[in-house]
Amino acid sequence: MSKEKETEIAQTKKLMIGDIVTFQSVKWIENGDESFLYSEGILKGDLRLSGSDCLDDCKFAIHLQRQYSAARELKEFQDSQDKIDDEDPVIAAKYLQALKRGYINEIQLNNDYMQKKYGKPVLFGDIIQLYHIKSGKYIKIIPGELASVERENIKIVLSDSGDPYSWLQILPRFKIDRITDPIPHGTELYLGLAERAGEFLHVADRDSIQGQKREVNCSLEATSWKLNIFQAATDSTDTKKLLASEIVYVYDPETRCYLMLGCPPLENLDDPVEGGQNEEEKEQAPTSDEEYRIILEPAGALIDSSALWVIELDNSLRGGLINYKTEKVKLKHFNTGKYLAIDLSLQELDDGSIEDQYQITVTDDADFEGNRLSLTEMNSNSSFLNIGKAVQISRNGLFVERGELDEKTYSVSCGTESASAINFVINRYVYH
Amino acid sequence: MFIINNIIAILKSLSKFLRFEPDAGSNPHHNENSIDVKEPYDIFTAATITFYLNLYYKMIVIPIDDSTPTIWPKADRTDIEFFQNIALKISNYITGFPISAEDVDTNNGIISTLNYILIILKLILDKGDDKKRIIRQRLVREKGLLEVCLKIVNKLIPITEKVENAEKLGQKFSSFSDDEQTMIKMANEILQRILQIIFSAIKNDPVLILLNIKFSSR
Repeated sequence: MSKEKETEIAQTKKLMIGDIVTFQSVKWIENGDESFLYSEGILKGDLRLSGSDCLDDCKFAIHLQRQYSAARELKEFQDSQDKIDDEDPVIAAKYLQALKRGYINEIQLNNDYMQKKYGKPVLFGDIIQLYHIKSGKYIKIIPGELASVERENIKIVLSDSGDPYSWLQILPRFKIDRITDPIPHGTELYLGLAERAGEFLHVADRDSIQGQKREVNCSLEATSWKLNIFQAATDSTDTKKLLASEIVYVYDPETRCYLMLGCPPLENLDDPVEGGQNEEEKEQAPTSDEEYRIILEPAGALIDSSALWVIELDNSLRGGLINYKTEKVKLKHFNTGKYLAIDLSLQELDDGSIEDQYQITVTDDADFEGNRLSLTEMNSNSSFLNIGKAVQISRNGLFVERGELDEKTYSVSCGTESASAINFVINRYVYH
Repeated sequence: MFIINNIIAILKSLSKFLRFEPDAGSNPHHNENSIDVKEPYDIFTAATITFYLNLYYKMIVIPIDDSTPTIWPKADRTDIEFFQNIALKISNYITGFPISAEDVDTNNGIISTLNYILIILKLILDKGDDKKRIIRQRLVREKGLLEVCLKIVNKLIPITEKVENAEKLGQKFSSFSDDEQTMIKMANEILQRILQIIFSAIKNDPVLILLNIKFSSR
């Protein structure tokens, strides 16, 4: 798809409940790269700015404003119980039970309400919650805690279930946008706190200590963010459609094998770059891409994570449905982060002459031309890639074929005949 | 045998009091009423764990003089506290507990020796969730956890050798400079925690048990 057409389509997109978005800082560029609102989320919950290399950690879903009154009541009662001992334990237990029931009902109501409003437009001035996709947590401020770099500001973290301090109001940056206007893709906006008027999600002006990403905190000073709609809520309504950025496994039904990346065995525990004493040792690359083998291997009851791949579009800032007729995709190996590529290499023949040969390989370079692959769905009328359908993987008329069998493992090669290409089945990885 | 079985039974019953439940009190950011709390998917947690361990591995610099009290010269106090915290979280997580479980009674990030012993005892005795453990052990190993842990152990060998050589020569620990002593203690603590992670990643794994049977029958 041409860039102009992509931009045109993107500009017509409006923000909806359930959209997956990224927020790009307008002011800050980190290491020459665009910087996004980021949080690792699982072990560290603080908010920072990061480059596009950590894009998976920068994705947030737009959720409705959830209600927390029953949760607060339960919390307050539990806190007060620790202090008051003269209460009748039977009555207290009954009351606690009622509060817990109310709390569970509140969660159910929140979820039902979210389901009803899923795919409905979000307008400027609306109150939403930002749900971190990777960790499943909500952004919230901690009123009593100061930010670590800018001590005059308040700390923002990711929280398990959120609270009223997770309510964020989307405010327009420019006068051309007004409250109650729809919010288009690529627009600049402020993220204000609904519970504390005049306070905003703010990128620290002060630098963090060396090696750490720039802090994001809560401040009276507003920071403008550029909204990028990564994946529309409507894209995920049809569960049979494959979406970009999903984790998938690529299965060969004929041999009952999975497309895997065979990693070279660890031979040396020393760090080859730092441990090298002389020039020769220093020049040793950690592991050459040529040592990795693309194979077809049968999996056991549990799918080996070496068989997991992430489907990416050419534009890494865009997710959603994959139009396989017009778009190229990249297959990134989940465990190693390496991209599957069909590449030209020089092979020395027996007579000593050198011949060009195409081979299937992997590379770390996301921008390498050989990574851009075509996934062609066979005998299909749909323009978008589906799960569980026969798919051929190719690049410029070179198809992925089955190679020789070695014990239980097949090697993978490439050839020019579509008829001899492997008809893979791509399925979504089921999280647990 | 009977006495040993009894001791194990007593220890197991004691371990119930050490259950690693999410402790809302110790973490002000944790909502104790969070029935709807969703744990991150194992596949992402395994990736995050390996990412951090790799980061800490790359930070290690073995001092060449006796006036450097650290093996992480670029780390600040929060980095060290964070490592102490996640090392235990990782072990617990692999054993089958949620990654968000606040199990450690930290006193400004410093874990008391008694608490540490209790936690290790708990890890040995408590099985956690067996199904989760098997999946997680496999996932973290596939993500290269053992590789990075062994690399850390390998990188710390010069420090272990230094202490061993000093012992061979009849030198006491006090013969090291103050900075060296601090550095050795730090390396020792890191080693302890890394070995604990390795242990939790291979403990009771059915595949490894099977391999062991094969080896022993030869």
